[in-house]
Amino acid sequence: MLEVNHLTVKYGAIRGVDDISFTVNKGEIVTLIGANGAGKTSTLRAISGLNKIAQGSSIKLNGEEIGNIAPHKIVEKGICHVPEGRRIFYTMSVRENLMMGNYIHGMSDFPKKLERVYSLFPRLKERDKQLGGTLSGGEQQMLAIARAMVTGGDMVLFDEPSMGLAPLIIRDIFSIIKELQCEGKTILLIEQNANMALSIADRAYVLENGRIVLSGPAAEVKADKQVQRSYLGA
Amino acid sequence: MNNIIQLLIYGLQLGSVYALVSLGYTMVYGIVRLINSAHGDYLMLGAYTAFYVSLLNGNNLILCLLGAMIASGLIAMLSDQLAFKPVREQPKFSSLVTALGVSLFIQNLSRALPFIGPIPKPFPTLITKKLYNILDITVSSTQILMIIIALILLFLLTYIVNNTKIGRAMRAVSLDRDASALMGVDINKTITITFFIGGFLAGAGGVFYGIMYPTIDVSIGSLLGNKAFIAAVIGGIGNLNGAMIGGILMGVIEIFATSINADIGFGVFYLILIIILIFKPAGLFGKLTNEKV
Ligand SMILES: Nc1ncnc2c1ncn2[C@@H]1O[C@H](COP(=O)(O)OP(=O)(O)OP(=O)(O)O)[C@@H](O)[C@H]1O
Ligand SMILES: [Mg+2]
Repeated sequence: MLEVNHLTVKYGAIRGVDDISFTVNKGEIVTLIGANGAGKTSTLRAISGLNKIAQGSSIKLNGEEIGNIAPHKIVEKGICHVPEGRRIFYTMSVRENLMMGNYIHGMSDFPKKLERVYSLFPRLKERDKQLGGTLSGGEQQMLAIARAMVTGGDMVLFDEPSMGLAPLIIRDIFSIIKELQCEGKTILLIEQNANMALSIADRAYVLENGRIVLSGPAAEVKADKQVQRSYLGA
Repeated sequence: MNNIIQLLIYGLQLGSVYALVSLGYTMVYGIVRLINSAHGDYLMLGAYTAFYVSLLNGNNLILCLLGAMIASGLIAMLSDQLAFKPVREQPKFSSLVTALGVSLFIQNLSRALPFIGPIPKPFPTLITKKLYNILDITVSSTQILMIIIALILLFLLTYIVNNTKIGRAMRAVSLDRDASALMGVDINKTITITFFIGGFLAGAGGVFYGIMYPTIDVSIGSLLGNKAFIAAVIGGIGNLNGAMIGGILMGVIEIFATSINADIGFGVFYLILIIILIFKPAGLFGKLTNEKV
């Protein structure tokens, strides 16, 4: 479904991502793990068009090159991205944030989508009119996920959805990701919480200094000695 | 007492002009963090458009207003496409210098164009002046019409920004450009529309200015633009309500100050600006942002 080849992202002289290639097949959960600054966010931002990619890089969605098109067009092609740090709109209400999620769609289906995400996140329903900036961190993350669900798309990119959340909420969020997979969505997941990520993922790639150093089925990566020492605290 | 109410009405009339122009500054600042010093020049061209519309079609207020607003809006949009868009990803300083360049370009080009030229032109009388006496207070039809039209425009703008899809997109882009792009918002299109709306309102400001001070020349934009910009800063730049209230407040204050001494009108603007910036650096309604990440 998604095919990334020789992706390089440059920030001036620095290479945030240095010639990586990977694929995500339809219906899979694939996770990218790596330490701070390994290039995970840069990779996701390149996929959704927010970061310019260097020459020679290629990003294909269902065979179509999307490497150099504007982010709003990539959304229309069916990739939606839950960004690092939630990035909800602080001075908009919960509902307005969700309406922004619905931006590329007509309003006729919105009530149905609203009902669905509100049944999944009752806390958001209670806070329908509250401003996004006044939500707690966990509620903000729920809003970010709900907003992406309203946007829809066959492929969902998650950038550290568990950041700063209590273990109980993390469990909820991971079960929602799993549920999205069951609905037929394809998922690319970035996590610091490598343990959790590897337990729900089908396959994994390990990034170090902008390069892929290990890849394989999640269970194998989880069993790797080096990975256990570096990311799983074993 | 009657005198005070009369001055107040006069102040509201002038203030509504400032409010219309301030809004453009504040909207454009909100969405691209640019202080667009060419904003005043859009309204100058709008005023000239009204001048020619009236020359061709007679003194029809609505036609002249529409002509001016659309012309100013289109010129604002064009300046965004031609001048600001190419430097959008560059450091802020580039846009600031570009804005100064656009302003100089518009003013000097206008001076050289045969149908604008360096010599001031008399602005047509678009509203037949009738005086009404209500409880010993004299108000003119001009004042009533101007205040009503300005209020309608301000209301319309608030409605669009708060309740429509494009308005939400404008707010979203102001808040977080990347996140908006991830929702499918076309950032450049949204910015261009913001320029258009800002110019559109400024065009009305230009016509109203011509009605109040019926001689127009190429520099009316800088004069009115400066005052409106200060009003926007006083209200809290980036804040729509702030721009409206700041504009109206400054109009009222200017009229009262001028009634005391004709020369201190403009000085008062700077005095208030300095006082506000000392005690409320972000303006009356601005917030020094402090957001949870
Ligand atoms: N806008 C930028 N300008 C310059 N360098 C950047 C920029 N964004 C990222 N980088 C650099 O690129 C490298 C990769 O950053 P990236 O944000 O992709 O890491 P990450 O794997 O997501 O890390 P984390 O787990 O901390 O979020 C880092 O060295 C970072 O400093
Ligand atoms: Mg990151």
